[in-house]
Amino acid sequence: MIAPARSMAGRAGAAAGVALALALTGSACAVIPLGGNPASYREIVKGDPLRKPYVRVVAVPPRPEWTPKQVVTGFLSAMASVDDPGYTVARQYLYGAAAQTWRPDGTVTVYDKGVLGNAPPPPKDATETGIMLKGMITGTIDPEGKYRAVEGAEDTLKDFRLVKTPQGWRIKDFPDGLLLTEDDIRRSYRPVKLYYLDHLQKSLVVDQVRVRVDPSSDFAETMLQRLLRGPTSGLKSAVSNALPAGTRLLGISTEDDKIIVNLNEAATNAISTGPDRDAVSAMAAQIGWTLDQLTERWDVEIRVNGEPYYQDGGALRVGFDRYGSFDQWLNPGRTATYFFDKGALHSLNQEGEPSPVPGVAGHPGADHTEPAVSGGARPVLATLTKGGSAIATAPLAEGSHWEQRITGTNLTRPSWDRYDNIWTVDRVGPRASRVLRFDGKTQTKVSAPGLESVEVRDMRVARDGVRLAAVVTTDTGTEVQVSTITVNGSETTIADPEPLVTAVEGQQIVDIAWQDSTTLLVLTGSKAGKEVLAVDVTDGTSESIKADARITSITALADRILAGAEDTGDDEPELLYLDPVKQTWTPLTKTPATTPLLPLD
Amino acid sequence: MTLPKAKDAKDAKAKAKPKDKRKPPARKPKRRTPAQIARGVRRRARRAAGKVRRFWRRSLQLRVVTSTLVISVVVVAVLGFFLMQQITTTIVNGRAASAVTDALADRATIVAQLNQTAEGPEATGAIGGEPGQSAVNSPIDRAANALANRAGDSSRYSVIIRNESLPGEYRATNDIQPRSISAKMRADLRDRQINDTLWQPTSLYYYGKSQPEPGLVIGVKVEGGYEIYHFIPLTEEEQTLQDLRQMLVVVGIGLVVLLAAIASLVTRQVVTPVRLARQAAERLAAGQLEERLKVRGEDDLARLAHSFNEMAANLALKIHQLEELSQVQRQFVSDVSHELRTPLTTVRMAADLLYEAREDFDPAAARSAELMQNQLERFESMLADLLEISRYDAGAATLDIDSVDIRDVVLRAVADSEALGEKQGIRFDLRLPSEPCMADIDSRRVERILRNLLFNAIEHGEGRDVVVTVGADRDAVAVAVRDHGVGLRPGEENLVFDRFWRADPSRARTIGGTGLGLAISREDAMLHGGWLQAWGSPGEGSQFRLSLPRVAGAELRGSPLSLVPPEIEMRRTWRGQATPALPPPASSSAPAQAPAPVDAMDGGAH
Repeated sequence: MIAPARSMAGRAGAAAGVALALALTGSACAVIPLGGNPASYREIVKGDPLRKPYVRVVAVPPRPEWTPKQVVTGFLSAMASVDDPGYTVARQYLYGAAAQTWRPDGTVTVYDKGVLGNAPPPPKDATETGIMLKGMITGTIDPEGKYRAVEGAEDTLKDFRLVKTPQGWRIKDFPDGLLLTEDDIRRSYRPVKLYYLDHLQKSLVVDQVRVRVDPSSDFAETMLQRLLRGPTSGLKSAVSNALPAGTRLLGISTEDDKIIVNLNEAATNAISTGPDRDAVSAMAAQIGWTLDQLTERWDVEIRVNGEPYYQDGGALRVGFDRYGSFDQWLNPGRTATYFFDKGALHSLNQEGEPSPVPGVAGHPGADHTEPAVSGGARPVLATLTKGGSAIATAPLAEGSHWEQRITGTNLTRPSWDRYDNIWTVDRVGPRASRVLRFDGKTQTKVSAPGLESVEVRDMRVARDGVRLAAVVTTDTGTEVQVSTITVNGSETTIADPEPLVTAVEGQQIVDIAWQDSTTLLVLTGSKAGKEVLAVDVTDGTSESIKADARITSITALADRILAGAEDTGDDEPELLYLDPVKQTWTPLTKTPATTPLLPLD
Repeated sequence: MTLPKAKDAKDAKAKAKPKDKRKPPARKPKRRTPAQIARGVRRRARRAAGKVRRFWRRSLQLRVVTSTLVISVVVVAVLGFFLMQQITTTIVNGRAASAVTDALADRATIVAQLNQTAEGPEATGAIGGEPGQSAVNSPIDRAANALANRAGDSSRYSVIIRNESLPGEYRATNDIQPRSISAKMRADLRDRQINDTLWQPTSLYYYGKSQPEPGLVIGVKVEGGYEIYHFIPLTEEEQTLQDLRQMLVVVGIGLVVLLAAIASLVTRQVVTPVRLARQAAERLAAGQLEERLKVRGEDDLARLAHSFNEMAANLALKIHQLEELSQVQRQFVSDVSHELRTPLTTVRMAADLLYEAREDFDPAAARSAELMQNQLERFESMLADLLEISRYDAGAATLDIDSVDIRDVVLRAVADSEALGEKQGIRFDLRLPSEPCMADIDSRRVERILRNLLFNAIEHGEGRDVVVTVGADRDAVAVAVRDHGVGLRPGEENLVFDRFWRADPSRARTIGGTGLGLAISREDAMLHGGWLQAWGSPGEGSQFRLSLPRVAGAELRGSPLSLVPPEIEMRRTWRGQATPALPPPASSSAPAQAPAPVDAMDGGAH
């Protein structure tokens, strides 16, 4: 009697178990555990700043049924494709030998407002036809990647001749190089600032190029590859490179908020080859500043073959606080603001309250004009004196006195460079100028072949110490030229003057000022009013800033642009600054003043 | 009891022999050829396989664990496969659903952008995320830019917008390669209606990555002949699934190992009592009738143990009863023999009287008296033999040991039998060693054995010579009696020692043996710790060999004489050499082969 009862009980238990299992799996009992303590979330950087989204054109081979116009459109867009470096698809649009002989790797011509001629469709039995492309050339990119803006008018860009083949229409011939629209340039090229060093390896010099987007590698990688290839030909003799020869880039990756740059073993040569300063930190600054264009001031770690940079296992990791302070003029922070009034220099404190500077520079002296303040910890004022035939300096300190530094006949306003040398131009004749420099001990003449046969009206040395801007008057008119200062041993030369802005008829160039090492502000005046042009000296592109008609002088440092407005009778003279957000000129201080000054300008 | 063992041993030796024959080449110190090495490897492998097979057949536990392992591996693999497939489908479908939702949302934007002509500056301004990219002219560029900014970098998704019929209307975002659009997808989409959305898991190819990545492609055709493809990488899902699969594999392996361990434990619980039961049964079979199993619990094994114990008890009881019965019977025979002696003595005395007075009787009565005298003698000797046998059965026989020269004993026995032999026309051929062969024996019993053997030889000798050989070595002495009669058929070598056995029941006893002589002789030989063995072959005659240890109580290891007569042996060897049908032995091993059966018969007896 007991055994059957037990087995029945067992069967009932098994049934209950099966029912429970079914209920557990089938019911709405949640799999994900709910409730619990709220967990804290550590925010991580979303996305990889080295890989920004972009759009590419994909080249499509021509189709037999396309009209000549469609073939030309297809060819123009195939040239903009970055997918295949050999342009095999674009070559399919070309006829016969042109497909083989066409060399796409020449100069890129950039045009805008391109319109293809609306020719009537050719008759069915036609074997040749033509399509006109009209547009305006806006610039060129040379094989080095250097962009040069071109002032142009609408014109016929290319008269495409097409030949009918069994596969459809083909373009008969096309000159070497590429023909791209502004859109294509925006899409397929990116402006990149490459940072190199001046001859003393103390300041960073910017070289700007357009780099073609390469979908097979990160843009950061493309940028550094370009940096390793060296500066463009214009700067080659003026700058040096702390990256040792033979350095190759093995890869770039990100880790948390850090960029890891993996170089080959040649990069360790920097430890021993620094001339008088640590070349390693110069190299790190070059890489850091170049990559800073993509990232928000991330740390950079340089590795060699994936290992820490130093032999003893020490990592070469630099944050913005280190590479950012390598060149103080790239990241100047808050510097003193001065203005010059009636032969006396005043400084503005944090609240905008003016006070005369200590020493003789703060006392009015009518024979001191055209001031310039040096950079560095102990600023020095330099002015023209004796009616423009001499330059005197006085430190901004108690008990200082004037000292005469440069003498000449008819000097331009002095310009300090970053090493506390004073530059000026002595206009010895109507079309004869001499560039003079005082290097702390003596006054020397600097060879400047491009400037010696013209009349130099103003001259400013850029804060990187490599570029020099001059307002010159030649037989054709007045223009702003930018030259390069090359130092070869003890020989200093001002070479390669390139016209940047040419004054049109009735236009004057009132003032120039370096905003940063690549942007030159040019204040022009005409009957219509005044205009400030921010010109990028590396590619000639310019941006116009609306200017008040009263402005007579400008000065700038990084994002601060100051202007002095003259006394027009209705208004007092005053100092203005450009509000970077509203792009309007706003009074800086209540005190009437005319000439604002910032260090090294 | 001894002979079957000897036979087994012989078989074992015979089996072992081919191995011995193969070994010598392998053991030679000279360099071995590759063929030999291969043969050696094969042999070793075969031996190992044999060992494994034997272990496999002997171990129930191993078989159970192995089958559990195999079955659980299959079950876990099948279950894991389906589970993994289910999870993969769920995850991919989930991702696809959200991706399709994204793509549909994008589609509305794109269609709006594509339909808008590039006129309103506010329209262009609305698109660009970056100020530098705001002044885009063509609608497809604006659409692609909008998507690129919305999608971010290619780890989220990439987009291709294209229009095959128009030149220059083909855009891709980021580094996706156009060949990521599978041909099937393209063909399917071409046949679809506008706004039909298709999705497909596929390999995504990116520039700068050598390996394609798993991903989804979602394609849709919109107005104006444009096709929009979204590419969603599934690398994270792939990673998750790979982790999951790895975990499943680890868990599966763990489960299988656990199951095997459980099976091993369970079978151990079952096998251990079974093994104990087997050992107990073996001991029981070996005669330890008091062997019992421990009974624990009430399960099947306990019941088995219980039944086993009952069986053992019953067997012991039955055996005991049979022993008692046998005892009673022996006692009965002994008693009958004793009881018969008293009347027989009286009958004998009367018969002697009658026999002595037979000459006074008429011839028929005289003949009867003679017959009675003969039969009485036979009856007497039979009775004596029966008594002797029953003494052995009762274990009452004792030895009266004395160191004697076995030659003397043989000579005495031969002398006793000579008269009878002459009557049958049989001559005895004695082959005795020249030196004395001393041994500790009961000379009376040994003489009786020899007499019995000689009588037996005379009876079955067919009138031919009987050879008596004496041999001796350090440990043992032996006497062989050889006749040349009809011999023994195979299998009769052991039957001859049975009580009252006769080769041909129809044949009359000529000398009048009791039928117990050889049985008693064998008991006598065993009492000495010696052997009495028979050899016979039809037409060749037979030979009986008595082997005795020289020292009483010493174990006999071999006999100085061979059981098979030497001339027969030589003939066999000669035939073996001449006949090619026999296995071709190496010339060196041929002589060794011949004595082998002899040795086997000799050595195997202990």
